[in-house]
Amino acid sequence: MTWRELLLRAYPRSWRDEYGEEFAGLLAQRRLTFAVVADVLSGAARQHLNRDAPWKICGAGLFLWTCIGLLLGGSPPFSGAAVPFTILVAGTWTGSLKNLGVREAIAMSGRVVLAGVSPDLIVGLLRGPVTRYTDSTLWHQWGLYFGTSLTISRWDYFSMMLTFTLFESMLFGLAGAIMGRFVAGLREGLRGDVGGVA
Amino acid sequence: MTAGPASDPELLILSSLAGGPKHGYAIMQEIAVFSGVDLGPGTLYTAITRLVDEGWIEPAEASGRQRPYRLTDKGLDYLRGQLEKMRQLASFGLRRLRTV
Repeated sequence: MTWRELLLRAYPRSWRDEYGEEFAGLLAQRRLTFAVVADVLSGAARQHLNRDAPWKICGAGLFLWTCIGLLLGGSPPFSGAAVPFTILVAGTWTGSLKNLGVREAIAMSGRVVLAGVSPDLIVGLLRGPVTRYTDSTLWHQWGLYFGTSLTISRWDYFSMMLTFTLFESMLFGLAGAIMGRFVAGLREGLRGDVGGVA
Repeated sequence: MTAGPASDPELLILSSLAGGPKHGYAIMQEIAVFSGVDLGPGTLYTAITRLVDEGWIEPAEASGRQRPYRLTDKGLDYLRGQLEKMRQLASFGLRRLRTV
């Protein structure tokens, strides 16, 4: 794969289907300088913001946040606090754009969580059995902890993380969808008021 | 050239297409000639996408890999309005400058 093809891949698929061929033709006629690469990447970011579903953007944000958390020491609370917040944002954002049903809200927030915390899950699996202590753990906050330390197997870690995050996604996904409906209603009301005044 | 209304990518593209349908590379080259602005491919296609979404330009018959674009009536009205505003602003500014 060439650099130009890689740059084209940075754009959303729906955009590539529409403009990909002519854009590739244009890129082929330009020398790839740093300024051109930066310009193309910034264009790709804007297309993602304009075209992608909110869950993709929120999932990507949470993914980055989790990666930073792992690089800084990998404490579960680092990504833990961000997970419900991101699901709420994604739910409210999507819900304000369209009337989300219960199943849709859960599916959307599940995607956000799975995309966002996947580095944590993968690192947990690769790392193997881990011991967590009371002063820096999430486990004792869940009520699953007895004693001064807890050693868990990689599969226990994986299934606990997965169960907890999926439960979280259901709870906060629904809350986000409800808030989204409220925001959409508020916006409609404001639009009506402005129309009435006009 | 510094940023300002005269270097707005969308207005530059509309002005270029006012001379007839063109594909992306031809638009970029003409803009560089008449305004001195070197639009990057990402900036050019961000603006083209927005102009198509707004209905101000539309794709014409494709010739090979390149697809030309042409101005729509809506785009022509928009361009005329924007240029008229710029003309009024320019003449006002120039009048003021004469008194300095």
